[in-house]
Amino acid sequence: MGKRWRIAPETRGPLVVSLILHGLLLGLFSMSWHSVADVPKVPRHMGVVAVSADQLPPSAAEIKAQKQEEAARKAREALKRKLERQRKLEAERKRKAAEKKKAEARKKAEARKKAEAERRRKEALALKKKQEEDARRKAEEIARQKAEADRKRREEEAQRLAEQQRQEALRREEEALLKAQAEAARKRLEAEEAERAQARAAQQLAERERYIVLIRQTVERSWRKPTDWKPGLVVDLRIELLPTGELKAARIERSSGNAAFDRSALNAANAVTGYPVPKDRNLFDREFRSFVLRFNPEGQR
Amino acid sequence: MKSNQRTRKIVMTAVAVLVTWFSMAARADLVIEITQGVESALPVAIVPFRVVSAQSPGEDLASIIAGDLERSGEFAPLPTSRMLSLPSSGKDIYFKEWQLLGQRYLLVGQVNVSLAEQQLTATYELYDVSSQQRILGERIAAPLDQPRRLAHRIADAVYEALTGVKGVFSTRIAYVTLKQTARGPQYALEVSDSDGRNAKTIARSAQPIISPAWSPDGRQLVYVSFERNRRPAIFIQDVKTGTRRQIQQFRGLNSAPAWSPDGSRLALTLSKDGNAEIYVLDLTTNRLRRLTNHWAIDTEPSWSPDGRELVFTSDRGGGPQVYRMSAEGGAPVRLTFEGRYNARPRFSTDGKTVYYVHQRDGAFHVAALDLESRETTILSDTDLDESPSVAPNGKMVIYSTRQRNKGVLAVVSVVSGSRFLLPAPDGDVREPAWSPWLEQ
Repeated sequence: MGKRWRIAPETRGPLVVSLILHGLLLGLFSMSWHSVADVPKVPRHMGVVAVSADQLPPSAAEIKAQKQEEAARKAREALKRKLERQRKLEAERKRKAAEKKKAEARKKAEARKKAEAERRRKEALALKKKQEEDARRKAEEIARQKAEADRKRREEEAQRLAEQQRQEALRREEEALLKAQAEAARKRLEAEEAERAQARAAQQLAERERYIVLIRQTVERSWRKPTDWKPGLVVDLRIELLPTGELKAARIERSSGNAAFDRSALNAANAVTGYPVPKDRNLFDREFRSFVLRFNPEGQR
Repeated sequence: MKSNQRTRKIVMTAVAVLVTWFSMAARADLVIEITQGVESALPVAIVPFRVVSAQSPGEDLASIIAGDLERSGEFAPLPTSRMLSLPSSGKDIYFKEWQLLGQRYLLVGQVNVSLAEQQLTATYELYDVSSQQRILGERIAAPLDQPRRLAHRIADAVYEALTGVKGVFSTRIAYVTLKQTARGPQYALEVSDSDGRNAKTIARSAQPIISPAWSPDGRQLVYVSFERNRRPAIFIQDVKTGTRRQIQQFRGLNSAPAWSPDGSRLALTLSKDGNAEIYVLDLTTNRLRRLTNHWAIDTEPSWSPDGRELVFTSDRGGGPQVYRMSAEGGAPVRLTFEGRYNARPRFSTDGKTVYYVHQRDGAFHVAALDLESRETTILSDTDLDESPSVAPNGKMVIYSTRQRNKGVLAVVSVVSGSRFLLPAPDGDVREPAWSPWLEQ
């Protein structure tokens, strides 16, 4: 990662001036170089002659001339140097002036730029501030509106509730009245029903007893007690009837231990073609749909 | 709200179910107690057996079975003429038909005569008509010449299945006949099937034969014969082989032998000491032991089933009455008090009843005395009923009576009281003795 040379902004002005001056110097130098080199610019074939002449020893005039020439040259050179110095100074002055001017301009530009930036910053700030202010106002407005709506709604709700409660109270009152009436009616009905149930129960009880006797007589007419029954022989049969009195099933629920005795009971139960049963379906279901026939020759009645 | 309602509904249902269940569980079942039954005979249909072979068995098995069951007094077989169909196996039965005929049980069967195997085979099935349940199902065989035996065995099986008591139809009876021939009276000791049929004479004499009695194993008969010098002598005869021996003869009366239940002793009446007394003779040691000692007549002993007691007839009270005493001897106890004539006692098989001949209004009947309640029941209603003998199952009593001035045999059901005459053989029949259980 190559590090780039950074030029500090404050050195930028003098550096430019120096670069220009050096450029100028270089231009001058090259021009003088060329002029020197250009002097012996002769065709190549003539050079040989010149060189031959040069190889001749100088004369006194020539030396004098030479000295004069040297002095002149030195004077010229001095002038030239003086001029150069003046020119250099002028250039330097100019450069400095330019530099100064440039620096000033730069300074000015910078100041302008700075001012501009400041202005812009200020403008942005102001804009931002304004926007914020706008947003704030807007939010405040919304909040206000919302609060207003809420308030309204609450009020309405409260009103509605109040109305509802009023209605509810009314309804309850009405209901209580109806309920009281219903309760009274129910109690009356219950009392009547209880009376009827009692009557029915009494009737059913009588019916029950009646049918027990009828079934007993029917089965006893059917039962041929085996000759070998010994005291203590008891067999329980589970009898299942249809509401018509038809035998659905008869099975030994508790054996007497004596096969012939059990068989005689089962035979007697099976041989009954129609069992007397109550027409009252309720009574039938409760008592006679399924019951036990106990064959107990020693039983007391 | 909604889920709440639903929850409530579920809870209510659960409660209702529980309440119902509890109430059902708590409610005791109705129990109807049956204490009485009818005494009338059980209607049974004995369908004629189908003969599956070309050869006939020579006897109608069904009618023999029906006769046996009817004679027991506990069954009322349906006459064949009233049957609507004649099934011979379970799959042919239309139960409704038999139910309509009022039948409780139905016996069907087949019989096969195999000349090659020289045997009869019967297959029979007994059904409960109402429940249509098969109660019995068996195949039995008998020698070719014993179709009656086959029938009696089936009757026994049916009787036992329906009464719980072993049937006695395969047992036998011994009795004495008297025929008047050109050469004079002819006495015979006969042994027949329990229905009086198939009789065979095992002893014959021009002089009286009396008091036949069976050995407990049913192989021998003991009886009194006057064949030698017209004096009574006691003989023991093998039923099958006919071989017999006379037991030691005592001076005077040798009478009324009765085998003890264990077969080792005979109770008998001897007058060797001047007056009819009851003795016990040990058959192995020939030792005699006198049990009674009274100036009156003591005779006709009968052993209790446990062999510990005897009942006998004695006129020590002025007229013949029934007494009981220990088989070891001791003081007799009078059992009968009704009437002036009570004689010829026989213990029932359970030892709880004594059957005897009871005179009432000039007529002689078979009566039963309950030893516990002392209650007397008249079993027969003819005029000159004699010599009761109890079937080995205790349910029937055979006795002799008179019909058209001739002695005949009759059986009475101890259970139902119904009476049947046995087919009368030639001549005058008397003194029947029912055999014990016999080996098949």
